[in-house]
Amino acid sequence: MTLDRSDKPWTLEFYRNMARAWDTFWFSSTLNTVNTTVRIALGLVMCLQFLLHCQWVPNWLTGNGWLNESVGRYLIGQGMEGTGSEYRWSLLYVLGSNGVTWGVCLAGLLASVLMVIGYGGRAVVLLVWVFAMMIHQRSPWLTLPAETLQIAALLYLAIEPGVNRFAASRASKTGGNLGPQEEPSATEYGVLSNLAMRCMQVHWILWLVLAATSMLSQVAWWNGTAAAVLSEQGAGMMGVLTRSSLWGQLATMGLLAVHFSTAIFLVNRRSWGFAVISSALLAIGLVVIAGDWMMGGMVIVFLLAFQGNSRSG
Amino acid sequence: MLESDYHYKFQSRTTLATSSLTVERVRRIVRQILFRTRPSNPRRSLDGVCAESVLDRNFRSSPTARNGKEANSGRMSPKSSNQKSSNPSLAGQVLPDRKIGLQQETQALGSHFAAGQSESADGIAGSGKMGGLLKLVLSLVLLFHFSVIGLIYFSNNSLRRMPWADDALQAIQAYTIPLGWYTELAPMSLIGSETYERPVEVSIKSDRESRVWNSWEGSGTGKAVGGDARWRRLMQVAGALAINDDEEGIGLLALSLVAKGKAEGIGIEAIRFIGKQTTSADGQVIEPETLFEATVVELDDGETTLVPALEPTRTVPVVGKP
Repeated sequence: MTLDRSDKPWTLEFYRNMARAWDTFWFSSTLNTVNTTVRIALGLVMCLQFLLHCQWVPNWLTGNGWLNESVGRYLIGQGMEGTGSEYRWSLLYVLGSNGVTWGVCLAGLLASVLMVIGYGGRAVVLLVWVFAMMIHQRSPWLTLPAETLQIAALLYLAIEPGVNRFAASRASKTGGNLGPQEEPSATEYGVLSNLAMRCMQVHWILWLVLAATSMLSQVAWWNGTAAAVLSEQGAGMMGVLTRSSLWGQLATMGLLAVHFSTAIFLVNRRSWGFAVISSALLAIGLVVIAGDWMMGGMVIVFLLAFQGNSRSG
Repeated sequence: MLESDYHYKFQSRTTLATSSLTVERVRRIVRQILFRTRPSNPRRSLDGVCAESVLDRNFRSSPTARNGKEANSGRMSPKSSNQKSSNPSLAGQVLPDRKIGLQQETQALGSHFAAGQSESADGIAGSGKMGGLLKLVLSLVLLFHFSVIGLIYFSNNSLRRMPWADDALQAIQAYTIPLGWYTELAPMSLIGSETYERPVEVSIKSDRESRVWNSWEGSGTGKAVGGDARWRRLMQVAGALAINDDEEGIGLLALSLVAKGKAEGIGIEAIRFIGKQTTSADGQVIEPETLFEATVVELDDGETTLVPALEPTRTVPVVGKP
């Protein structure tokens, strides 16, 4: 997407170029190899996520769980106007037995494995989304940030989930057909591939910038005590930090800075290398300071969605 | 050679091939040629730039093209190619007067092929073939969608909620909630203090007469695998319900915990939520406080209910001593 800097905003040409840039950004055709990579990475994250769900969902969301159905319904504001509770759909509200919760988790896990393989294409990605949503809708108050990003990424990826690499390589081994590098399948080019990745990119940039500004609205991120507060809550791997500790202050400021720097580097295709470093630091920071492994995984997934940008730069 | 000539050549080659071979066979052969002869730059083969023809690049690099602002017209849009080829005089100006080699020619063909392929690949795919109206509709949808996402995330981090934003979010609940976009309840900041800042502890008494409260950190919540984060979230919810005087809400939550304890074989006679001692941002120590306390009562029909403890302010004042 390029705009001629010599264009003046009061000229018609400026707006024409803007329209062209918009058109190129969203509606140009790309190969869906990036989508395939993102699907595999997200599928792996979802496998891990559903394994984790197996550990807590049957314990929490059943009739005898920590958050039984009546509390669940109360917390979403059922019967209260303006809460939107009527739009919260989940099988777990209707059938909250132990078997059903296990069924949802295991079915989600199986669908995630199929998603990694690439079997079932778009339908399987949507299936993973459905199972993830059932858990999210049943307990929106307990949803962690990484899960909201997973749900968004799954929907975007359903636009164009890429190809089944395993089937392609198997076909090349059995002979007759050419390998995937030599012979792209008929579905490899498309506007949808580009559209899916662009949606992921824009969503991630919005998240990064607004998460960082959200932090800035809290005093703890300004005075450098956020890492210590997180450590007091038992999060992360740094043990309990005192609020005045230098390491805690540096970690706080560093984590805040990499939120912004990752967003800045990602939007500039020439700084791909820095974007990778910054994203890696962000992922490490989220794991070490906040103890959020899944969020670290999602940072990598969203970084992969920017591969196409780096290559055209 | 004009770009329109390439169009003609490509089309005529395809037509000829159809007479003796299947179109797919020809495409495969052309594709083989393309992928063998293309410069070994994987970056170009992955993102669709491979489809950018040499002609397009020449066109863009020429001063005339830059002046004409055609350079921004997209990478491989057949529409843009058609637009250019429909103006032979312009195309004639921009193309360098030199012989284009076989490699360049095959790449030029590749752009047309790839464009054609993208058209067939997805019903609406192929930038040039995607109708203007469809693009307009999609653009509006994208604008709407990301405005909504931005508004939701912005509302999460704003210190004071804006009434118009609340109204707008409420108006579009039918779109945001069923699809999982409504992530307002998930904290954007890592500390997640939107609901209740202080750490909350649950303590229970298994004997009504006992004076000893035992801390109950939610055994079996799957702490090692992220259950601790959810337990913290649950306790934040409890704290928020308590400070908002939502007795029904915190009562239901407490009952749910009591039922869980019962299922695990823990007989709970009394339960309470405590805001633990903490240090404020300016370094002041905040003493612990009881947020909610209740006694568990078993009814005759087997149901369990809670009788909240009286608040200290409600105690009957001593009026006199005998």
